Amino acid sequence: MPAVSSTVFLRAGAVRAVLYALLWGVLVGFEPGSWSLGVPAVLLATWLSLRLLPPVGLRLLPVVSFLGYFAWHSLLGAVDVARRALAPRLRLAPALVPFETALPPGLPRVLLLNSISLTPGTLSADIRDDTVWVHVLDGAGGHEAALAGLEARLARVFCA
Amino acid sequence: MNALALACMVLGALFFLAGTVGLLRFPDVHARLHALTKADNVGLGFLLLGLALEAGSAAVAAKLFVTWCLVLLASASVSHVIARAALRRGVEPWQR
Repeated sequence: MPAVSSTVFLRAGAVRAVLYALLWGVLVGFEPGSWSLGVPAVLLATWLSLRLLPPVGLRLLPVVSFLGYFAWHSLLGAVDVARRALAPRLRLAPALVPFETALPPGLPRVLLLNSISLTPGTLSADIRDDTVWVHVLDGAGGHEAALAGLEARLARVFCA
Repeated sequence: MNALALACMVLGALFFLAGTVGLLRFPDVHARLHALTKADNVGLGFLLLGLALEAGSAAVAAKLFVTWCLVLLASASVSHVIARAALRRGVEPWQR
């Protein structure tokens, strides 16, 4: 693991603590009495999250652009699978295709696997070394380009 | 009831219906996971959007939005784990 300076660690901790406090407030309500449990829960969650996932650098603009791309493509994916399910004749030609990823292990890969499963016609079925095994509903479609586009957008989200 | 909220909820229900039809009609575990994860996530999104519009309270809307994000995260992860478990137990994807 690369050495992370304590300033980076403190800043990431502060940002996450604010997010967890917001989450607590949304789930429980911002009542003064709830914070006697809320503050310890937020601190515990922040400590755990820093242990499990050390600070990562994210770029704001690519994050926003990725979320928009992701939302639009999950909608397309849902429409696509709904049409296939309701069509009088099932038009499926499933296949298992390999996809080599250059994204580093950890958060970037987890995000890649999860977004593959929510984009049209593709489902991440396994990962071995650098190869993601993708189950596709229609082996004839050009999934390579879609997967490469998704990966490129995700790569821009993380600071090098 | 607000017409926009009603439209969102009906649309959400239609996506759930399509997802369930896919679950019943698709040939194997991997194809069925496609139907469940994609259609149900978007269906839930529209349903919760309709409910949020109807709730008329930002606090409730925020809670519904957080619910949706957590379900998205859980269903994408669970579908990957099920697909992987099936593959590693030797379930070959159905082919035409």
